[in-house]
Amino acid sequence: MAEHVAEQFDTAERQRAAAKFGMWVFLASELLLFGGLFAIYGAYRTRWPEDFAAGVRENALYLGSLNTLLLLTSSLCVALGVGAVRKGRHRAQAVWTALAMLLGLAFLGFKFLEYRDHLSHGLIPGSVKLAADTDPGRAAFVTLYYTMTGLHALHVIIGLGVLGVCVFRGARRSLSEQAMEASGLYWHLVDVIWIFLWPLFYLTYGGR
Amino acid sequence: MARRTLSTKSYLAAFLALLVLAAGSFGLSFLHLGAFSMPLALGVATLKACIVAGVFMHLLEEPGTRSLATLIAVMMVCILITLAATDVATR
Repeated sequence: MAEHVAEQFDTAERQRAAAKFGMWVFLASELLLFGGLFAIYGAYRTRWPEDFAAGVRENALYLGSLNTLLLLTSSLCVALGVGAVRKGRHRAQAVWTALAMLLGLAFLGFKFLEYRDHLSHGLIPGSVKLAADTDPGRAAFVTLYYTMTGLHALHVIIGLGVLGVCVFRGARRSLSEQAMEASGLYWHLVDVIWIFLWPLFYLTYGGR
Repeated sequence: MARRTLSTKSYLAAFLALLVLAAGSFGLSFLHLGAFSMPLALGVATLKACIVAGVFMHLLEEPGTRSLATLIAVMMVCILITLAATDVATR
């Protein structure tokens, strides 16, 4: 497929480089969005170390870890999808990307189960009861837990939409390598964020 | 233009490394490591993030400027987190 080169670029190669660099700048800005929340986590965890450790201990270690496995595997699928489209194998790309989407959906499903469990235990974000009944440290943990995993889940949902477009266009053989790579980068960023959320909300409870 | 392209084999090797690191991090969480548990868990996470960025996100194929831009964003976040935590810790 002949690539359309916009007026401001001398070559298609330069256009691709600019597009990819733009994607990386966008990812850096996403990182700063999450970075603010990570900073709040750092500050509050330093302020209330016991409350945070206790909060992590109560989270579903096995479900959270299973979700880590799901996202890591989905990232592999997306990487294989990029590899396939580079070789012009559009069908394989669509299959790998669809597989990644299934894993992403499973991730959301388990996250939903976790949220439902928290809510049934009265851990409702922003509720007056939560603020009145719990220590400020615990309330801070619960609020951060919902904010950070919620924002991440929102990114997973957006990522699923992006990957969905890739599957659709891949099946019609109208997906460019560039578009697949940019979509892949977004999905991998979502994976990287979870790589850090996992220890912060599931692993660092101080041993069993 | 000649460019280094990562192979399917390198994707699989990266995935294997990620699994081993995740299993290690999971195992470490059961131990009573006290003050070391957080830096250890975050260290392993950083290593995993580097593998994802380098191989899955193809930073290893890219010119150094791309890594530099990313590295600066990461550095800024690290400074932000460190300062926020030290502020609280030294009050």
